[in-house]
Amino acid sequence: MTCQEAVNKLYEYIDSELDRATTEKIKKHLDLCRLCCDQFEFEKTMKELVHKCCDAAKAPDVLKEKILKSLNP
Amino acid sequence: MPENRREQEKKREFEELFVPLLDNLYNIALRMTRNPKDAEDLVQEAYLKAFRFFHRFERGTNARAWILTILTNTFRTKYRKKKQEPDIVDFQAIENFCLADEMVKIIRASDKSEARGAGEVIRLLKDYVSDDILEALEAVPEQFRLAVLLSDVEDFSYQEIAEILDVSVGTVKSRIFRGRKILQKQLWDFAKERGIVRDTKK
Repeated sequence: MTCQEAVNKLYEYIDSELDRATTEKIKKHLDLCRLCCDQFEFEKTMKELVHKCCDAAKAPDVLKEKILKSLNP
Repeated sequence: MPENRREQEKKREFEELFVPLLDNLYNIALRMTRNPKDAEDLVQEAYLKAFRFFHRFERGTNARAWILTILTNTFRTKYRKKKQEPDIVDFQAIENFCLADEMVKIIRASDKSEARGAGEVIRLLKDYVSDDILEALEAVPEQFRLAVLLSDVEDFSYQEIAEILDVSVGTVKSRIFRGRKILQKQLWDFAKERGIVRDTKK
């Protein structure tokens, strides 16, 4: 696998969209290629950061109450 | 009364399935509407619709995907026109943008030693605080933002996202790609505006 081939599948790889054989090929490439490995690590971190900061809010209690109330009028 | 009992049973089942998802839906709604008041209204409306159409929910299928589809559709029909969306993005300019590469350039320009590498770039990336990332996300046009959120925050597969957004898997792939590029470009622009980094291209 070339760097270009690996990078083309970067997002599918970090999103776990690839079949096992392709995933293994990319893993092998990443073991050997420092530059690609860095780039994949970067994108993975970016994804994790987005997850973290969009998962931090708590729904206001009053919203929960309103919803429960509307189900039990 | 049996009719009454059936109604009670339906409510209990609905609450068990969907009330634990409330924080999750509220977070996504916040990122969709970009405003707490609208987010609350949106979530409430989605719950009411979900309850009204609960008989259509197929038991055993993914409840989170089901109610998120309702939330997404409600958002798209009701709220999307309310707030000014960011300008159409020049895709050609962002297609090849790579935040990691830009960061490597800066590190190389400022660091006398040869120490570059992933550790340093990821440290720079982690210097962004949550507010930076949330603000950058707001600048991503809705259709791309939704695809990125459903992947990064909700961990849905491309197939599931395609079903929620009612588009093809290919479209999901391209929206996620573009959404992430726009997000990164935005983060980079913030960094430059705030003088956090020096623009090495000048």
